[in-house]
Amino acid sequence: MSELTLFPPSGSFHKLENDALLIDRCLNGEESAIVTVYNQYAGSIYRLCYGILQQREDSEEVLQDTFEYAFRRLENYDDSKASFKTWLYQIAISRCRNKRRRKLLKTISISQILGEQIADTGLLTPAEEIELSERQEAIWQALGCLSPKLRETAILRYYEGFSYREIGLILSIPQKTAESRMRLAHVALRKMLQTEETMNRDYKDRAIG
Amino acid sequence: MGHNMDHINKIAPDFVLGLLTQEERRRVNRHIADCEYCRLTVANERNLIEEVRITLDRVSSHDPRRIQGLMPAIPNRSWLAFNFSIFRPVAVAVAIILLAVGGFMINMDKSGLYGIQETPTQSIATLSHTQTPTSTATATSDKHAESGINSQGSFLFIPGSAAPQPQITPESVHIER
Repeated sequence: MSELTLFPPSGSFHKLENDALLIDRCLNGEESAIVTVYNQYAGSIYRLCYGILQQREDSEEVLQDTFEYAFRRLENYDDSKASFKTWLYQIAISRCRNKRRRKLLKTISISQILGEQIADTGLLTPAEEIELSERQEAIWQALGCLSPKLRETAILRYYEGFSYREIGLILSIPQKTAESRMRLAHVALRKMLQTEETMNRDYKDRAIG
Repeated sequence: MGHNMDHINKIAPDFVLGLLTQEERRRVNRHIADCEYCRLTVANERNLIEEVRITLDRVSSHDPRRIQGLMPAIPNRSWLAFNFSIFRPVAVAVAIILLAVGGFMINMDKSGLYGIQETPTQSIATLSHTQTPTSTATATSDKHAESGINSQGSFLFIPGSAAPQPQITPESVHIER
């Protein structure tokens, strides 16, 4: 498997023509086109939000906000600047950041009042109905431990398969910054998971011994 | 094992993340074809990426019907298009005109061209504008009114008229010796 096939295609180029037609129809007020746009992108936007926020309710709220804004401001979309998918992801990322900021402010104020220590990853558990292996649980926790900037980049690259140029566009950063964030995220994940593996191995050895 | 470069531990992440140039990639590919240790290193890095992707896919799996139910209300595009294309510039133009006219009228009103403002100074100004000194005042007060000095000897500032010019008479000049 070459490194070129490792990341799934982001799909932002081969859909360009379809997107342009769909957007034209949406702007003409065709309800079916708006529903098609939503159905086409809602799943991936939700996954992006959930990967970043790691909270189901928050992700659903951001998903709604993103599409509400996108439908209202559809005439602001400029296809010469970015693909429609990139534009949608830009909106979603900015809303995720706002959501996180607002939640952080609440956490700090309540914690300060109560004099409690702020927990970093206390809520980072996937929904109860999803069963994860020990390794997957470790990866999910490790992702949650990454800084928000690194997590955003990692999800856009690992999961969505965006190119670094597209990641730069979505996050409003230079391509080189996107590359360096991705490198840092990968190394940090590797380190965290290796530590986890070592701890598990030691624990098992002690249990057997 | 023919090595054409040192082990690639350090650049293995860059290799799998697609951060190397084409030439560097070619060299790494040539190297891992011969070096089993580096081949394993690269495979480990790829496994990590694959594991992260599978985890994210699994964790964020959702019921499509639930996501569909979250679709926001569809805005009335034809109305919105009309609204934004015509109403907005017209509304802005009307607002600017109203502000300009309002500001102009306020300025006019302040300068006394519209209506009479019932303030003491304005009353004096009105008196001086509407009534001739000869018809209402004595010759002395006429003289004072013309000179802008009232009967107590202080100056009257009449809005809308030229600044009062005190008349210097021999009686008004008092030289201390």
